[in-house]
Amino acid sequence: MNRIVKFYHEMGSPPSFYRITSHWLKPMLFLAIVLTLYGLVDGLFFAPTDYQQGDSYRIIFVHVPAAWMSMFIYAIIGITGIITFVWRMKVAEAVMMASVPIGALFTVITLLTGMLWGKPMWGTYWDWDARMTSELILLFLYIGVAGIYSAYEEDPRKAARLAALVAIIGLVNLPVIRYSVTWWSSIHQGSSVSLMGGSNGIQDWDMLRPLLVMALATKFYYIYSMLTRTQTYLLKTESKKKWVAEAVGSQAETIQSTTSNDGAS
Amino acid sequence: MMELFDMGKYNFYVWGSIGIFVLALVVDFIGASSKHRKIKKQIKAQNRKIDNRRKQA
Repeated sequence: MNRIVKFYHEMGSPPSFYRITSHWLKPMLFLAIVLTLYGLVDGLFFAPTDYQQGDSYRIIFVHVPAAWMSMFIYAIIGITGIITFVWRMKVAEAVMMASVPIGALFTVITLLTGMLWGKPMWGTYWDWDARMTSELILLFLYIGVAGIYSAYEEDPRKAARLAALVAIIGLVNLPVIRYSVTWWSSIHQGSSVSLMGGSNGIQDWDMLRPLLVMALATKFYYIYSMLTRTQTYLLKTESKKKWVAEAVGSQAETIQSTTSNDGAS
Repeated sequence: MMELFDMGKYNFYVWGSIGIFVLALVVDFIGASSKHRKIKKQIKAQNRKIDNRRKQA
């Protein structure tokens, strides 16, 4: 238990967070690339053809993992937003803002690949139905969080608190997206995977496996991208501190001469 | 071999989707790492400036 508490405190301090996560970047990127390659090859060439949708269903192997990530990352932003707002923890601010670009990107991937799937299946690229509209609102929420932050960028701590407020309010959209296909009649198909092993969705393990592999791959890529951006954010906002000078490898004199504050938040 | 890549009438939609996915992640990767390198360079340059000023004084 003590170990966990210690780890938690270390992760809350920018210098130790920077030092610890530096070791994680390469393994995360490696896992992401290997799993993506495996998942795509398995999904595109080895998974059986769908009896209703033919080969077009293979879009699922990028569409669904991207959609899961778009919501998962927003949940992370909401949680770190609450931590930012209540405890004013600097690392939480960094993780929150670092997650925004990659989350927005996954939302864009979801929308675009969804359109490419919709055209052959529904005969239209876009329909203003609940699933699509709520996912589009999610994209606007990401843009809103980033926009509020950049409006107050000269004071990063204030900017992060305001962005956190927008992020927290936006959390209400997540269950709307999740249940949109159940609450409203939608042209979007229902869930493909159910945790409880219900009778709906994919039954064939050869179809499910690449989907789950891709879901893992996108998680690892998110961790890589988010940590890289979090480190950038911490370097930028703490640029005057001693630990930053050490981390970027400045000369010894600078390290001695810059402020003695060593940057614990 | 080539027929493995053939998705019939869905070629454009399937390969378009995979293309968007891969392209987006590559762009994100390049963006994140170039920003990281840029900020490191900036801080280094700034520290060097402070150093030089100290030496002159």
